[in-house]
Amino acid sequence: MTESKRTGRTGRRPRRQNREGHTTESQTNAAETSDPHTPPICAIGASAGGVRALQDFFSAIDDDLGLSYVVVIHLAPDHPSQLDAILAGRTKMPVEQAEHTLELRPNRVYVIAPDRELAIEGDNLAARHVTEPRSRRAPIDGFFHSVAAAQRDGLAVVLSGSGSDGALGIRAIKEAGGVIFVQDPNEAEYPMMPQSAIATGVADFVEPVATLVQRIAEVVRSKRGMDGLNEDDAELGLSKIISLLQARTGHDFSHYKRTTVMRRVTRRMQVTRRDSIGNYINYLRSTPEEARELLADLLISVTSFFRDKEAYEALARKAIQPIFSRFDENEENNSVRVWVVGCATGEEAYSIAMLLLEEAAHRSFHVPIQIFASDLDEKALLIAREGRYPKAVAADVSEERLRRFFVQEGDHYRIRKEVRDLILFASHSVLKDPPFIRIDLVSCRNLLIYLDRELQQRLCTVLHYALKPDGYLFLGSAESVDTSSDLFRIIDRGARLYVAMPTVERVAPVFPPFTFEHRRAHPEHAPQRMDSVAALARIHASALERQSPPSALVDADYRLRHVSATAGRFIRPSEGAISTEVWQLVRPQLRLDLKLALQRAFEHKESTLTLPITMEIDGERRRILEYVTLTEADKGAAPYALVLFLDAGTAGPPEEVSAVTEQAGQADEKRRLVQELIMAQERLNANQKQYEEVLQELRASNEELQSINEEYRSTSEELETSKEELQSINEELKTVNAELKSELENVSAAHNDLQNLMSATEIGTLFLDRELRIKLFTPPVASHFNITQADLGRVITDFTHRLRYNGLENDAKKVLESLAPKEAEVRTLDDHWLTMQIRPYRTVENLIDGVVLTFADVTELKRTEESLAVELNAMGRLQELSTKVAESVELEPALMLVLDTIMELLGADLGYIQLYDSDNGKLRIATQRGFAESFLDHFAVVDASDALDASASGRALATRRQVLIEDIEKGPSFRAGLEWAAPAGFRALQATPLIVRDGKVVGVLSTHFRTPRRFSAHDLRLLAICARQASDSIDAYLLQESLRKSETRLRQVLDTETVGVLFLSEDGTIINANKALLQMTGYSRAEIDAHELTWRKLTPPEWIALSEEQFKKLEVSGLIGPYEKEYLRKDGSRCWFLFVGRKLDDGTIAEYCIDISDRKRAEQERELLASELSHRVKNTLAVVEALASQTSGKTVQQFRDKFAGRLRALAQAHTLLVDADWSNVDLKMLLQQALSAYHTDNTKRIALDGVPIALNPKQALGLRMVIHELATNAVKYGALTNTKGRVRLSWQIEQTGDQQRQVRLHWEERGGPVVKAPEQTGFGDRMIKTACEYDLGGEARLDFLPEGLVCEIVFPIA
Amino acid sequence: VAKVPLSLALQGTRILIVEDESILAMDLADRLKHEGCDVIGPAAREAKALDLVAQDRPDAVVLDLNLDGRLPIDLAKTLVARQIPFVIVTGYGKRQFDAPALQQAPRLQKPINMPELVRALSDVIRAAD
Repeated sequence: MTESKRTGRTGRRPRRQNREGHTTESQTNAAETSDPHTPPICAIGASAGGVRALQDFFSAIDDDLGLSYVVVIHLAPDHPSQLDAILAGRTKMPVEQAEHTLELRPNRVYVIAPDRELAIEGDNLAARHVTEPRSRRAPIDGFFHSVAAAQRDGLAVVLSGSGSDGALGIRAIKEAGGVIFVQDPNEAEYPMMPQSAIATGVADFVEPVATLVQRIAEVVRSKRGMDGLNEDDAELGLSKIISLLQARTGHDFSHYKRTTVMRRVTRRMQVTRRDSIGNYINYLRSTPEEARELLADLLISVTSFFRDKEAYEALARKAIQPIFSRFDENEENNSVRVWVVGCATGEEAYSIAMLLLEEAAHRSFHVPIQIFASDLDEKALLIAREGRYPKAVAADVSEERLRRFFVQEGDHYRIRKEVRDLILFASHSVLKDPPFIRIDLVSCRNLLIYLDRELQQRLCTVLHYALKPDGYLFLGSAESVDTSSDLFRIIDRGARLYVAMPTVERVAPVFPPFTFEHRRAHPEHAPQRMDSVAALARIHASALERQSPPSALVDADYRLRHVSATAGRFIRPSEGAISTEVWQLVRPQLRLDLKLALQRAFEHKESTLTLPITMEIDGERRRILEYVTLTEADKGAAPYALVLFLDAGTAGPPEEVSAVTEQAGQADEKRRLVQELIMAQERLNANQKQYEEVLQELRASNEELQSINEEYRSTSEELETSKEELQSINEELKTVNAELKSELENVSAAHNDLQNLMSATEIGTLFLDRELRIKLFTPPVASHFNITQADLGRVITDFTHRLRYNGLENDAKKVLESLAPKEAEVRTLDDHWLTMQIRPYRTVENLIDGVVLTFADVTELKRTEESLAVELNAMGRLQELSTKVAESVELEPALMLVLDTIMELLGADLGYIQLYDSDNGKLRIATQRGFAESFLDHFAVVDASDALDASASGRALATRRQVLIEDIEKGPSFRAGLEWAAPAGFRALQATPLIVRDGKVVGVLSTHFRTPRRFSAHDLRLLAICARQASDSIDAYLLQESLRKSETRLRQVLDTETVGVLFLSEDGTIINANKALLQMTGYSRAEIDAHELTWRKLTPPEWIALSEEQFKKLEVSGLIGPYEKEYLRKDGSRCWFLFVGRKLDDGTIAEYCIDISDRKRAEQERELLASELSHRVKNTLAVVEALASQTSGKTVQQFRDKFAGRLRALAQAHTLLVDADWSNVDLKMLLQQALSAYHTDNTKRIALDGVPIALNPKQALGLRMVIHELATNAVKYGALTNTKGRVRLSWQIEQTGDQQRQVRLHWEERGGPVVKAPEQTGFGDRMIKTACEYDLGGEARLDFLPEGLVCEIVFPIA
Repeated sequence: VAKVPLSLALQGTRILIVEDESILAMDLADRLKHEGCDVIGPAAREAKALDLVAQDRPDAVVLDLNLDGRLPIDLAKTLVARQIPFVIVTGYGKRQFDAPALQQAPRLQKPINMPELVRALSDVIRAAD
């Protein structure tokens, strides 16, 4: 078969091959063809014009062929397709739209749905959403590939369409054994797609649809016929076919895997509609062309750019980079040499070329590159040389490479010429022809897998020979060089990249014994040769029939081609490399004679029988003769020499010669002859040696010549290619011509279009040349310039125009000079506005050839623009107004702004804004413009109810509606209007009520016009905005006013002098306080503002606990107090405060306090007073108790009298003291009061004599009690018991030493009964002494003289 | 006046009476004597009381807080310093005159409840031992 690759199905491994090879094949054949559940697929691809073709197709096709028809056409992704319904009308078979995955059944039609891509998955037809844009472009290729990948033998039909979709896919289908049908492009509505399919060379049938369906039916039937094929018949038939093929084409496929060969043969059988192998063999015999067709089929291959991207990346990195790196530019004639074996249609070779060019671009020096790409398939080589590939290849090649290495040609991409020039495509068999040598890189992908082991090994040897030491070998993904692991070392297992190992000696590979030129030197009339190994065998056999001795067959190149079974004895290869040259192989003794004999045979066609040569064979000396004769098997076939080795029996020992000579009689003559003979033999031996040396040289030259010859052959191929390229250039020129023709048509169409455009357009367009001559104009221009069609070619400035614009000539010239377009707005005489543009006229070649003027009527636009400008101005003013009003604090300036704005916007002459006070029902003019004093006097403040009838503003206020009076003299009028309009000078007015948010009317905005005025919608809108502005201002003002009042109130509350207010933050810092608090505490505002004070600082330590308790309460209830505590003033003094407080919403605490120090002081005084009172009362009671305790009496009456007397004395002393305000009491007064009770009847009996002396209260009290005791004693026992007795009481002040004074009081009784000193001292005596000591601070002396008691009391006074 | 003493606890104790009201002082002296006390004083002035305290150290003191309108604070401090117990007898409420020297002493209200006074005196004397 061939070394062409078949890589259509990635990852598909060759079937396991057993020793015999064919058992597996028949099994797989059975598997492929006899499964009844998987109907064959008829994949139909169509595009533009395809619906018609499909209708014809399905109308004509038999509906019982058992095929599953899958129709793939290009559909818009977002439109539903009706194709299934259309086709259903044409065939009895069910038609389904494949929107989702379906099971494939025979005699059914499946139609692709929009936005789907179809694929075969097992027995199903899978429909998927389109995933990548690429598949959208080429759905047919995608489906065809999927059919091939699923190993479904099938039919592919390509119908009408533009583009090249399907072209790549049919190759894959054919490679998988399918049959390709293409609609005749002449019939197709759009021939492009069929043509692209045909161009691939794989189409089996190119027919109109009507005959196409017949062919399909025939093919299907022949296919059915083959299903029952007998395995043995098949094997036998296949052998016959292979030998037939070898005889016809020179290619031996016997070492190729049977499966593949069988599949291709089966395919051919379908195509030729032969239903048995026998029929096909007959057909093959009788039809010379079929052998070539079969060969082409066997050579069919599929490849693509950069198949296995990772492998190519590895190749670039691990092989190509090193090749360039070690490249020695100094070596003469050095170049990087690459050999792509089995290049097929060239994609692989070009891929490698791209990698090489990319790498070369990185190098600083120039590296010559030579790529040899060889294949057997001549058709494929044509495509490869052409380098034109369908557009779909863009999927395999990066954008960058596409740009760099391809040119787009219509529907194809073509490899750039500089890349094509690198590659020499040659028809060459790597297995038979001498290899290219000194190669850096051999790429041989997916060839080995089709060869059996023996052939693989041979191929490896050849490739190794071709490579330089350390050259690289690049294999397909499923291949390896395991058979020759001693020759190659792996460097990247994934990429199948190997490097050639250097060997001690480079051994030229033994080429297989193919003798026939497989290349067709002149394809048209190449003779059909019958030479083959079998033929050789036959020749040899017939020779053997005549000559039975050991023999060998030698060709004209003296190569030993065949030996008989017994010839081994004479074969002894010499040392060194094995050569097929016969004299390297036969025993050395035989060589010379054999060479001479062979030369005679080939050159003179003479047979030779040599003299017997003595040599040792099997340990025996024997005499051997050689017979050489020429044999010619067929007429014109290459001649062969037959060599017979004749055994002439045993020879005597070497001495025999001399012995014989001696026996002969020792004649001198004989001796001399023998002598001469020996000498001659020696000469001969010398000659022979010399000859062999020469021969060696010749052989070397011969090899060299052979290589040169090879290169010449390649060069010739190249020349042929060049010739083909010239032809294709010719083709291209034809195409260009056709293109030009179509362009001309386009131009004329464009001209028509232009004419229509010119007459249809409303934009005036005027074309002027460089001299401003009229070239062309559209009708509207005629309305601006006074020109007619007759004026073409005249200068535009010669004509009058209706534009208010005179710069045309200058402007046009300026544009011509500067090339900058000019735009201007121009008015016509009838007041239309035009936009005029002057642009330079650029030709397609970008030359300036005049100017183009366009006139567009923009009058409407202009007007809109003007009104927009007015509007914009108004908006601006309103915006400005709004800002200013917002900034204004006072109401009236704000209203003034509003009034000014609306007056300006409306063009009003007069105006005012009145405010309405609902409390008194009066309208007051807050601001005005343009009114005279007299008017204002009258209208400054008016009664609103009055104004209802009197004025427009009153009406507006009452009705809450805008009042518009366009003309006082016509419109609704009012008293005021009639009275005052004329003096005030207005004819029209409007009054707009100002309504605030809560719906209250707060005023009226009125404007007045001196002339009648109509109010447009725009006016009313402006009024509404201004009125809103005014209302808002008033509203804001009122709000602000009420806020201000409320704030003032609050501030006054806060400023109360008597209530301190302080604000605390949550941490107790005083953050603010009123003036009263500052005064109360003595701190300054600055100290508060510094936030340095806290309530703790102001609280004395003993009050902290209470305060904290209060603040805790605050957290719970939000309230503090009321509670009282002391506060520390700044000066450290304390004051009493009553506190209440609450927490405010923002978390601060407000405390109010009142200074209660005065109240507290009063309370303390009262408390002191109460305690003093308690002291006095209790003391007095204690005294009373002591008095009672000390008083004794014999009877109760007696006791009561005594006690009552003492109590009275005490009470009288108190009375005296109270009367004297509890201060000093005069001694005499005290004595008079004490003794007054005793004066009643004895007035003269008690005499008082002394100076005034002031006694303090204590002295007075004590002395009073003493006198009481003395007096009662006198009445009871002394001078006052009778009527004569007298008491004399005197006192004086004595000066003691140290400026102290004392009082000496003298009590003396006379005239009473005789006094006896009492036996025991009674209370009275003790009382007197104690009181004198205690109360007076002095002492008393009692003398009981018989004539009367004398008591002397001395005590100090101040 | 009862003939029998209220308690034997004060027998032989030496009590200084400081009281400026003569009748009261006299009566109190009588009553304490009746209880078996050896009465010192009574003293109506602070100066005199201080003299008496210095002269012969009493076992306890009955102290009136108002001696002719003056608070005998020096006396109280001296007593505290010399660890002589005393009982206050006064007509003032509890909150008046709460100087530290006065805070530890029992305080009885006038007019005097004798059993109360006897108990207070015997308590302070016992506490001082």
